[in-house]
Amino acid sequence: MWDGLIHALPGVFAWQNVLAMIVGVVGGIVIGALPGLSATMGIAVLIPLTFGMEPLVALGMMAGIYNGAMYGGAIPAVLLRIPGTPAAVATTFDGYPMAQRGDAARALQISCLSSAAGGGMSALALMLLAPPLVLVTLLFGPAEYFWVALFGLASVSVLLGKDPVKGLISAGFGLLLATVGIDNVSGHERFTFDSMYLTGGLHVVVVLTGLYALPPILMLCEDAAKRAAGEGMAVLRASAGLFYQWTSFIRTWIRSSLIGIAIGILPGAGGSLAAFLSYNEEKRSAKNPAAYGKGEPRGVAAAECGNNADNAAALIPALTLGVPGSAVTAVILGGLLVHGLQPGPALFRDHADTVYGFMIQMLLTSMLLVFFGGVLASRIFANVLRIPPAILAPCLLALCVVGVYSVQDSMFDVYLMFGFGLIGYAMDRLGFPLAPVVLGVVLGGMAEMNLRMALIIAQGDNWLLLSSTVSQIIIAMILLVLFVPLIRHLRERRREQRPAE
Amino acid sequence: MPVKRRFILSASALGVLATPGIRPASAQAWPSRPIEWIVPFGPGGADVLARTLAPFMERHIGNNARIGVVNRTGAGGEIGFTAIATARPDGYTFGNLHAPAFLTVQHERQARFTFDSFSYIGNVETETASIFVAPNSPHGTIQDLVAFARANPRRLTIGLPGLGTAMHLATLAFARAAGIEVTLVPFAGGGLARAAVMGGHINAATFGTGDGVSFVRDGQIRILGSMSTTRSQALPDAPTMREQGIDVIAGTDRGLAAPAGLPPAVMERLTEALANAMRDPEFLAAARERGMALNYMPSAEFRAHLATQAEEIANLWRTNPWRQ
Repeated sequence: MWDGLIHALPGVFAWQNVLAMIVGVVGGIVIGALPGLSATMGIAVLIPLTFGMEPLVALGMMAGIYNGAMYGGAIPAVLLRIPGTPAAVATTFDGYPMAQRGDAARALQISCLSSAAGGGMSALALMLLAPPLVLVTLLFGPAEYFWVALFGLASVSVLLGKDPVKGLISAGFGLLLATVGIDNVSGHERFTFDSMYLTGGLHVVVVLTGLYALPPILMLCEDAAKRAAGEGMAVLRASAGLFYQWTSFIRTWIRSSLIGIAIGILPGAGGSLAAFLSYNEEKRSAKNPAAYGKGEPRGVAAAECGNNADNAAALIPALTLGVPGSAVTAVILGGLLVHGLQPGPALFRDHADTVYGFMIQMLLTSMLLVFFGGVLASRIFANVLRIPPAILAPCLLALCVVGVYSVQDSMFDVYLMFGFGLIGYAMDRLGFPLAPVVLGVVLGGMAEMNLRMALIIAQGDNWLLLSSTVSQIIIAMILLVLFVPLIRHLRERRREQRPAE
Repeated sequence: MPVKRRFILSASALGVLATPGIRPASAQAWPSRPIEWIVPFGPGGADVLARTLAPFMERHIGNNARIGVVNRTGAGGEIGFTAIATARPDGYTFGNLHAPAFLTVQHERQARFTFDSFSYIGNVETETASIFVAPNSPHGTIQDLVAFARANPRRLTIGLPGLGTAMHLATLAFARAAGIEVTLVPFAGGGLARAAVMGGHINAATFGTGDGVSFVRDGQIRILGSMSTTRSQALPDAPTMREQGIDVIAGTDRGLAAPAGLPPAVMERLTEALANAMRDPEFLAAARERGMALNYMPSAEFRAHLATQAEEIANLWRTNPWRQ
């Protein structure tokens, strides 16, 4: 392995490959920052163009786009409460309140450093621990994946907002949306209304862009009508510097990286689950949980570190087992196939230089984020807030339409997005939180399908769902997540009551 | 949306009617603008076929032909197949046609195309189905597996890449030929089914022989039999099902098709170009490097092969549908 890595180094530092990484990172940040455009789409567009290129040039760009877009998604999440990618939803919780009080540049820099930290740790795991981690992946069958999905859904408890009933209704709506399309287990069409375009289900980017991007755009329009340009301009406080108090995030980064890597090696949920779980864990273990959701920098750090820590780790099952962990890794696998790199055990033997080179590129592009994200992006992008709403709103709307259309080259998806936009606007106005919907859409299908496959395999002996050690460990974690806050809450209440007695 | 779709359909119907009139001019000048190659699936697999073959099709069509590959994904390929079938039949649109995928769709739902909606240019690739088990599986040969399934009806779990896929139909054909009842577990992709059999979560799995090659060579899974007429070149030690007394041939064919009603001169140029490309040593080298399982069938043979398959699938749907 060390041999492989060292042998691959000279190739990685050829000038074409360095240039490819830089282009990839910058392109990725832009793609991630534009709502509707995601790393999946960016890499899919890139692949046909890489046909004539050297594999490492193509892979360097893919690595750059992958890591860049995962961070780029945080930019509109912080500035406008519009997650640029599905994995950036958790970044809005504390990033947007920070921007509201004038700390937009600071929030962007924390996002950037955290993304780099998570991406770097994840790339190290990919380079050094891939073989043992694959054995962990193989321990997970349908029953275990079902419990993982349930574990993710349990984190809804922190997303509920002020009114738990409305939060649960939102989550239920998300689960309902996840059932649209052909049911993979029985083959029945559900809620497709005889439309060919709905048989594949609702694409999470379409739902996300509609629910999250359109309401803020509509509100910007309302603002634009109310006040003249230049009036009530956003306050932008200068940040204290990229590395200001960076040591205070180390514990957060370690925790979130471990969570991100663990979710990454389990194919299915991807960066959004990693971000939700990291945020959840950060808030659970914090001394000041009440500050989360109101602009706590650690909340931003946890979410952004978690979603980037998923990146390289998700490549472990993809490269060794040929099982893509997410939509992005599926596209990257396609890109590898195009260059004659078949995933599987032979990959590391026959194409060692390319594969190890790609791993090093995953690490280097994470580091490049610090420069291009931290130094350039936070200075330039934070100024988006100074654009008058009358100009910003139509630009954003055009970007959303283009982005959603490009997901599956489908006008139908654009209409769907507008539909979800109206729903999202109504929900926002009526105080229904949006994050549980996204969680439901992302995890609903995974939970349902794996449960039903597990039941088929169990053949009536349903205790089999609980039989493996892995299942039991995850169930214990679910109980912990659900009941620890409850116990803590009850204990606090008792303590409050005691002086009164 | 329905309004627009009706417009496309009627436009293509008009195109069919109009072709006799425009034929002489269009055949001579063809292709005077870029040709669109529709791939009904995303990058990887089907896409590799198109991207590898496209430059050679350009070369052998001649006339400075330019081909743009477009991925029209969704609905298990139905959206792309529909786009090919309903395009104007002028030689400027063709694409990947995958069997049995485009045949099963017609039974499962109200598809916007039938068998006669296509001009069949030729077959390019055939991926055969195989049954795999974990290395430590108690079932040493396919006969052991069948004996276990006979003694324990429906106890044996076989993973599939998905419901209604070629591998699903292959597994049904295998179970019928062996006279056994098994429990099928549809995964969301062949990779997941392969990982599940490696991890011991299911007894066996059916997927493309080519998708198992490097794992079999590395000893991470075992192949019990391939549903093909001859042994796989990549795995010469793996016996076929027929050799072991189970008469079943199954897999998936990936070929090229254009909308029906193509001007005969254009159709001839396309079939000729494919025939020449499939002989081009440069293409053969590129295909070998990318692990494509080439199996060229010229137009008439491809059509006849698919017609037989269409009949088999219609029978299967009547007697033993693969989904409710």
